[in-house]
Amino acid sequence: MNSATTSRGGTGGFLAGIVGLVITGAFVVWQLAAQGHAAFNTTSLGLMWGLPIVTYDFLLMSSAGLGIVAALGTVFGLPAFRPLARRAVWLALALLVGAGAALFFELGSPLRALWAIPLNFQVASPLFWKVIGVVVYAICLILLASGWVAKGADAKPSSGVSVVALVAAVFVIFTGSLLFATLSMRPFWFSGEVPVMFLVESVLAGLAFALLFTHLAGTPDEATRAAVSGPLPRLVALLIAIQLAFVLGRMVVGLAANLDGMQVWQTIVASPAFWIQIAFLAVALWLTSSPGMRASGSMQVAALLLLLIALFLGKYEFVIGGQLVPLFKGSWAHGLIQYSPSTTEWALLAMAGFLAYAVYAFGAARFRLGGAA
Amino acid sequence: MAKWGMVIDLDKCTGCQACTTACAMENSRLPGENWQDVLFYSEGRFPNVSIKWFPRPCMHCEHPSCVSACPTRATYKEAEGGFVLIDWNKCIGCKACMVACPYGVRFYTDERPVVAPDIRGVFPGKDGRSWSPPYRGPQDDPSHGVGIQPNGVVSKCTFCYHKVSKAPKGVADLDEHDPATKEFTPACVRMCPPKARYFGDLDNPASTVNKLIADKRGTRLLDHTGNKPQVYYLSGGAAAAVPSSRETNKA
Ligand code: SF4
Ligand code: SF4
Repeated sequence: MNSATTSRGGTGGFLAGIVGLVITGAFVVWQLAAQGHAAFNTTSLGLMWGLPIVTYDFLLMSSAGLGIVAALGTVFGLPAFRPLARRAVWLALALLVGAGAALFFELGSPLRALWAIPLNFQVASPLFWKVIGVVVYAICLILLASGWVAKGADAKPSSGVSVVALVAAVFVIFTGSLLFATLSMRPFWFSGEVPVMFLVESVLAGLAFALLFTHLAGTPDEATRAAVSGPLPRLVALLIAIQLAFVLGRMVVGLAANLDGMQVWQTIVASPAFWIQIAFLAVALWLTSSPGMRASGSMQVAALLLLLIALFLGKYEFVIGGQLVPLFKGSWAHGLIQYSPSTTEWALLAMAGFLAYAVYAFGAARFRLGGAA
Repeated sequence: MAKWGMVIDLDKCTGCQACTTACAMENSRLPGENWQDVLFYSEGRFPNVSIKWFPRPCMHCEHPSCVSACPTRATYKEAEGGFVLIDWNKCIGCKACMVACPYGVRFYTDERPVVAPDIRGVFPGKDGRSWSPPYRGPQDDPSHGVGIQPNGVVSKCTFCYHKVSKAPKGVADLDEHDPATKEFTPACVRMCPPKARYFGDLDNPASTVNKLIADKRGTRLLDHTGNKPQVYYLSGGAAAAVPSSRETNKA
């Protein structure tokens, strides 16, 4: 282990992550043991997927985005991605673990899922294919982490595994979007552009995580310094512009549409969170597209933090917004459904975050995550 | 092979909720988690307010979106009879089926109660079941989603599978007034005082349900979703028309 190439604060970060994980995890387990899923603010009246699913989806899609970022350098020979690739592999693994933890505590029978999904071959369900994709993707990440990241500076990534990881990551993103995009009874989600939107925001989140933790790790080599202040922030800026176009385009169509279910857009545009998302995206766009700002590490850290918060808010708005119109509940649920996450749901978000961070910090302390591939 | 279907005449329904109560007793439902419900909608503003009611069981769709959302085949469509059922032994409680059902007919009990107080505190469940109702029917068939709902799984109306699946083969209608079919008739149909509900074989041209659908132009709810319900509604204009979800947005 070389102190010049392992990340700053790895061990301290790991311990901080573990402490946070133990505190928040204990609270979540206590609440769920005492109340079951009554500890969540989700109900059969219409809001079935709350903050835990938002957390799971955000972490899983970001992990898949990181997998794409990690593989692009090897698969397409794009040199700008190479300095981020090792860190992206480990971060992808960390976020995948965090996503799995959030889902585990959300499912009614999580242990049954381990055999019931793979053994029943429900090929008509996007979720079946998503799970197959996640398993293949996870195996690829483990192979890349053990056969490359953990092997030290001279190791080279397997191009075969990188290709499969890239395909699996894209597959996970597309199948992850399909359950939303195919539901004709929920016009807020039912749309052909949703899989493309998922792909853009996942790659954007993956890139943001990889760049943010590269900045935070400090002491980059020359190739890394060139990549994180030049082509990659420019790519981030381009993807933010596309993401903004998706968000604003969907908003305009939603407000103008006369279709039942689209009235939810009136609620969304009236919420401060929506405009915070837009403002954060706009500021991040400015900070990553301006040459002067790109040269400043602290400005880039600020931009990437704002960007990740905006993407999380967007995920929340998407997952929750699609469920706000109650379908045939009559006076049991009149008007749009009101939802705000419970303390346990917030604690689950924090727990998944701490777990992901602890896994990342463990890798940062043990392995050389920086430097060209 | 029968394809069971229901016809609900909105001109006859009085909104009395006898069907809801019968279903709750038959299927050991928690208060408020009504597999069969009569929904009430209010429209307009005082003084021009109208109230509408609308009976809503599971539609046992011909192309059920819940089945294609479920990753484990826990939700499945039975070839014989066309019932859409849940195998509680396979359900993982992911709630994808609830999100994918256009008609809001599915319930997950391991959560805050739909109506207060939480009766589960008074009659706590045993053996992983959500509660122990003071009265319970004898039927218990978890692989068809029949009985007291376990924790951590989703449930819904079975079209009284435990009764209807035992009906004599080839029968066109299940009618509470016919002694030969009375015991096989779904609880909600049997209990409806003004005879607003009919149950029979949609694939049998001689069935009463088919005649009613043809004669009174039966309509299906949200037909544009492609789910193709096996529940049809009749309305000659004397009562509520099929409500749209837009009404949920009214003040
Ligand atoms: S009404 Fe809903 S739960 Fe019933 S079969 Fe149709 S989609 Fe499935
Ligand atoms: S909650 Fe159960 S029945 Fe519904 S989709 Fe998930 S596994 Fe299938």
